[in-house]
Amino acid sequence: MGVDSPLDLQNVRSIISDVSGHPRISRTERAILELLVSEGELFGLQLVERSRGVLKRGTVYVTLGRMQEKGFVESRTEPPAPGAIGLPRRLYRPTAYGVGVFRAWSRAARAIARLQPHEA
Amino acid sequence: MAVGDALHRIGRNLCSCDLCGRVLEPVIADLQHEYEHADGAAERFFALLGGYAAFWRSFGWCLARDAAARESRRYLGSASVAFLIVVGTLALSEILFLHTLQGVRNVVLRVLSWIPYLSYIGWSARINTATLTFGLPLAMLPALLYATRRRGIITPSAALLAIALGTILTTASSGWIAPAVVRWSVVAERDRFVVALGGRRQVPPIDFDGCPDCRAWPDVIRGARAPLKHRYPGYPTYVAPEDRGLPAWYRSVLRERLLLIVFAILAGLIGWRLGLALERRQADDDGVFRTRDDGGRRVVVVGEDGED
Repeated sequence: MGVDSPLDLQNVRSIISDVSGHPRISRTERAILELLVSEGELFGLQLVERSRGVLKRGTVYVTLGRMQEKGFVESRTEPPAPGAIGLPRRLYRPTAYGVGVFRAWSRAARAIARLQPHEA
Repeated sequence: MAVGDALHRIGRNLCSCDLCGRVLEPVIADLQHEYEHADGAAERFFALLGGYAAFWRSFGWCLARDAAARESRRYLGSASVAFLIVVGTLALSEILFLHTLQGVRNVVLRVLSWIPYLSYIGWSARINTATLTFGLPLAMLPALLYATRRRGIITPSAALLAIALGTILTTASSGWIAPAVVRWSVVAERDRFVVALGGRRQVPPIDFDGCPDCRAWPDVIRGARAPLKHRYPGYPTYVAPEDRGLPAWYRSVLRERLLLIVFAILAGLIGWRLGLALERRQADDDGVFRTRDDGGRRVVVVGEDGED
């Protein structure tokens, strides 16, 4: 994961108050971005396998399609292998914008977690 | 034919190109890849199972997404307007020709009785349910034809949604609303009769069991499956003449209502496909686009230069 800059309470407040008009990422989208940011280019099925149950095979491409619409990820078809039949599979990688949004959300989530009361 | 080719054809024909390429084709590609690299029959079976389940789940999402798109909503709006106009015109015709002047009504009913199946419409028309029963499925054809012509070539999910909604309306109208109108007519007629008698004679209560057309869907289904009725306790094997043909009558009403649903679906499909054919022909004539066969796949070619 990239280098995180420390956030003070003022920064967290501004992120929370601005979030309604800004790009939102769901838990599934966050899981996909996390995998793509840490592992690079992946196929849809590889994402499902490496997510340890967070992503489902029936919905991963729906989420990836939505993320493509939002500009979080981009895709390309795999180079055709000699003798392969059927449709080419699709490889996904995060865009610079997707990486930026993911890091901002991660920082915000960690800062919010720090604000919560801790039990002794 | 490779594994998943049929799924690919379904997706290409029923979903928008964008969603098919972005969501469905990767699912099918995974299915084909897994199947190709599976060791043994069991692994191939599980590859198929997982791939098919993933496809249908994604396909449902694509259909819903296409149906909720702005173009689809406009299509539904056009279809609804045309549907209401046709149903309104039919209702007005029914009122004018069958419920206004006795002379005109007699002529229309006589004409209807000459034509084999239309005699049934004549019977419905006597009790104000011809439009409710036959008008709604009939209106599906012009409604979808008009909407397709007006909105152009759109994703099929909008047309399929319109057909589904029309079919639900037909089911409700022929199976619940029309029987309620028949019941209301029968009760009103009996009440008028009782008033005309002025209490001089005892009028028996109405036996709705003997009138399948007054019955809603659940009662008609129950009536069609019910055993023959023995209404006299002292004669356990005796069936009164008026009860003998009752289950068959219920079955015939059930069959007619099911046929109306089939008719509604067919009318909608014909209206949609006819609209598409006319729209394509006009687009071809205008030189907006042409289609060519590209290895078994119809490709739309835009403009005179053949730019894809």
